[in-house]
Amino acid sequence: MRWRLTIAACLSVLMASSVQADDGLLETISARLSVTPVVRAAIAQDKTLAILSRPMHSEGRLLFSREHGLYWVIETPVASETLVTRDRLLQVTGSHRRLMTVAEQPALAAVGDIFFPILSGELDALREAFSISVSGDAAQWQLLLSPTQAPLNRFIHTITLDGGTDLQRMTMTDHNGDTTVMSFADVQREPATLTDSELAHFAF
Amino acid sequence: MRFEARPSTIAWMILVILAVAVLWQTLSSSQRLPVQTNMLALLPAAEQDPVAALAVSTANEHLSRQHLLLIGAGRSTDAIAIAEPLIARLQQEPVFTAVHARVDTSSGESIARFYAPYRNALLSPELQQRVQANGVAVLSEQALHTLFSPASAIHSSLLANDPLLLFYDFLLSLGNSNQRIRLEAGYPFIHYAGRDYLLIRLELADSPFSINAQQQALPALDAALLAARTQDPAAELLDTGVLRFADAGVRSAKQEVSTIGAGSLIGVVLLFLWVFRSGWPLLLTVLPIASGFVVALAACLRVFGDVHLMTLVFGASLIGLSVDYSLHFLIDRQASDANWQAGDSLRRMGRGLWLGVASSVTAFMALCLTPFPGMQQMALFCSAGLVTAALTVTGVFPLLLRHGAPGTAPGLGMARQWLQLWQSPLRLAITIVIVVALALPGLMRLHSNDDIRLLQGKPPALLASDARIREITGIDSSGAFLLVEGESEATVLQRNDAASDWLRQQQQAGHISGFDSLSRQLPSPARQQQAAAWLASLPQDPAALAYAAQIGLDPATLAVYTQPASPLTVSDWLANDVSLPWRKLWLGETARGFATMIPVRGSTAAPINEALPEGTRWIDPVADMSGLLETYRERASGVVMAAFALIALLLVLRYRPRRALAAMAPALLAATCALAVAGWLDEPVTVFHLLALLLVLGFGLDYSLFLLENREHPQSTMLAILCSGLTTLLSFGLLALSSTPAIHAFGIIVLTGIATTLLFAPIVQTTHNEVLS
Repeated sequence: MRWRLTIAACLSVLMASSVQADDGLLETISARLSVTPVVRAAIAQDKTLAILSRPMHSEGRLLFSREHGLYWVIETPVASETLVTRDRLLQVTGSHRRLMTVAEQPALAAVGDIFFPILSGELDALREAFSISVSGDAAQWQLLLSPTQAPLNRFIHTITLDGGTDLQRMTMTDHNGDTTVMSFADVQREPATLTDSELAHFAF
Repeated sequence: MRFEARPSTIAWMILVILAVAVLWQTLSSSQRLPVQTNMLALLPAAEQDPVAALAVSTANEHLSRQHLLLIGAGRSTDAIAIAEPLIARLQQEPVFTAVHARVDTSSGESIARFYAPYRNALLSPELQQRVQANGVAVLSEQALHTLFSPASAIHSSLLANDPLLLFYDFLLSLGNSNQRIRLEAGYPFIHYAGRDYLLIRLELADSPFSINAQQQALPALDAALLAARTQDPAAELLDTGVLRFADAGVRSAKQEVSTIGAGSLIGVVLLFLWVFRSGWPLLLTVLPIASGFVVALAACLRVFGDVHLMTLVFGASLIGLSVDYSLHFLIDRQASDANWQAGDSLRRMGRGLWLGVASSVTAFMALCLTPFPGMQQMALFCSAGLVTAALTVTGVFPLLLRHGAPGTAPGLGMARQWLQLWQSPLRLAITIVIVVALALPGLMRLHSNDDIRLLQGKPPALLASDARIREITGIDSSGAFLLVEGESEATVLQRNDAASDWLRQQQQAGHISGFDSLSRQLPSPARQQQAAAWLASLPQDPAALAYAAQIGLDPATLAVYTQPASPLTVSDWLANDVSLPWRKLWLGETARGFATMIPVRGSTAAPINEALPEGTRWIDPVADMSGLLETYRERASGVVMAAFALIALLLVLRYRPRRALAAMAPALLAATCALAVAGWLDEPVTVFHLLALLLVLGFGLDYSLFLLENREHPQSTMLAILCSGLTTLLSFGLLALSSTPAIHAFGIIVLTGIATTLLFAPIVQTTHNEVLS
């Protein structure tokens, strides 16, 4: 698994640097992901950790607003809500609320640094922290992101994004071989602005 | 030539020689005069308890050496571009011991390394409280949430060493307590109103009140800021710190010393030239002032070890009153014939002069009874200065002036008219009625305010930038804290834990906005033992086993929690660099045991002491100081009344009641008018207004006593009073213009008080004439 990804990454990097036409595809993908400032989706997450005998599976929904941030609800197996803004993170589990700032935990910065540009389609912003290679075509594309800077490159080895008309899957691998696969379904971009009840989630 | 060795001549010589010796010794040992510039040094310590006083001074010391710098720009990269050369430049300056900006991302790893040996006895305070309330199962529940959280970066090696993510949670909880700060490219940033502000914290090598800090740190900082502004004019550069305010205070005080000094000097020169038509008396008058100043300074240095800048400001003006003594002597000589002998003048004015010195010194000694170190210093300074000045006039003037200077002083005619001002009892009665009628509404408007912050004049520009920085950063340095004490380290830490839990509740309830406690960094032995017992039970805990089964983890990994943890002790923690940002909170061993403090931010009201956790005390130095000022304002009111009553009694004993009343009247009317003016100006009455009233009383009596005692030359006495009164008005009139509220208060009261006293001074003469006729 790990070596295969590494090879894929190397190949993609080579391809990206040699094929200028990829920039056109990247623009197309950017345009598709940024068509609305708001995205809603069902999300299924499978974390595969070497130490665990089976993948950890969870399901929930996410709501992203370019202006306000990311609101992520996990419904199974344990209910929790996570709210990520540019500089803080609020986690609510039952009656317990925990507010953290990015300064407290640099790993949290990754959440914003990765999810925000991807979900808002600002792929150019990713170039600051990742080397990007693209493959496939407009109907079925794949982006391979390799972090180039600390501290991101200490937590993440690669991130792979798969999609067609919209984002379908995001796969993160770390240096220990642990992987996290997030599958997006039921992607809704309308209404293009947050409804009142959605906006309420972002009020701290 | 016969040398008249009067006792006063010898006393003067001894005093001046001793004073010069003291000054010589001080200057040769320390190269410069020890001048104190911290306004707070004028005030008594609010805290009588040594432990609390130690905590207050520790907190003050820390707060006063901090300097905050904010660089605001549209984009964080622009702010960093300005910050980097600025930081490099400031780091070169030895006047700053530290420039905190870039957060070392590896510090997280060194923190984790330090706490690792103790990990099996450590839980975050929040988790510890939840387990305490709901049992060990909470740990597994929490772990499941963390594990599935999209925000947690969990990997296999982490789970192998910490299957329930407890140490992970503990390390997370150690974070920054300022919720607004985030890191960008390693720099702390605050996003505010569409701009990114980079925060830099400077630590001063010296106290901001030291000459060194003001003369070196501030110019270095200003030069660095100017370079940064030139580099990017669009950037917003803000800075604040006690250093700025301390410097502004010294600057304005120095400027006021020179304006008041210059104003006073010009006034005196003009008056003398008008009265004497000669420069010689002017030079003579400098002698008592100069020798008074030298002796006063030496006395202060001898008794207090240093002299406060404010003592020099006030003291120099007050010694200026000794112009009185010179004037009485010189004008009496001017008004005499060619056969004048110094002894004649001294006989006529000597009793009034020494009574005047005695009443002034009495008024100053009343200041000594107040516990204000600044006031005590001023009282000593002025008493020593006035006594020396009086000795100069009585002991040295006769040696220098041997012959009369016949000729009419130009002011005598005016003095005669002035003396007749109240010859008509009707006019006097009507004037008094009008004055009282005007004063009453002013007196009705009087109110008091003892907020210590009102006493320090702070330039609006500095206050505005300080307020803006507080608004952006949310950093509030009110200085309030909770003092936690106990007989042993373990007890203090246990009480510290309990107090922190209580403060967390207060925070959730919105009573405070935050606090910094050692409870996270250094849990008590009791908490550590409790946590260790919970963790050791995890391999048998059903909830933990269920958790392992649910996620597919080998239950055997839970055994890591049974490894015994070393106890984390205060000395271990203090010995490691991880404690650096927090060490200031640990006060260590005290007279009563051990103590630590918990600075509290944004408290809306002082908690009631009964509600505080055991072994803690709520200390708010600003509020305590204001409370203290209130006490002394009330006490000073008492002193003023007592002084009036005492002096009235003495006057009644020496003169007849009617004349005693006449002697008191100018001072009483002066006090009424001075307070009424404060009322009309809507100025809250402070302890400083009341202390000034004491002085007005002293001056008023001086004038009355001179007029009552020197019956041979009433015109020359009145002229001398008018001259000295005008000189005083000139000097104190400028004090009222001071931007330091305490000095302004003093000035405005003395200004109106002395003006009124001068106006009504001839009342005494009226009764005198009646007696004569």
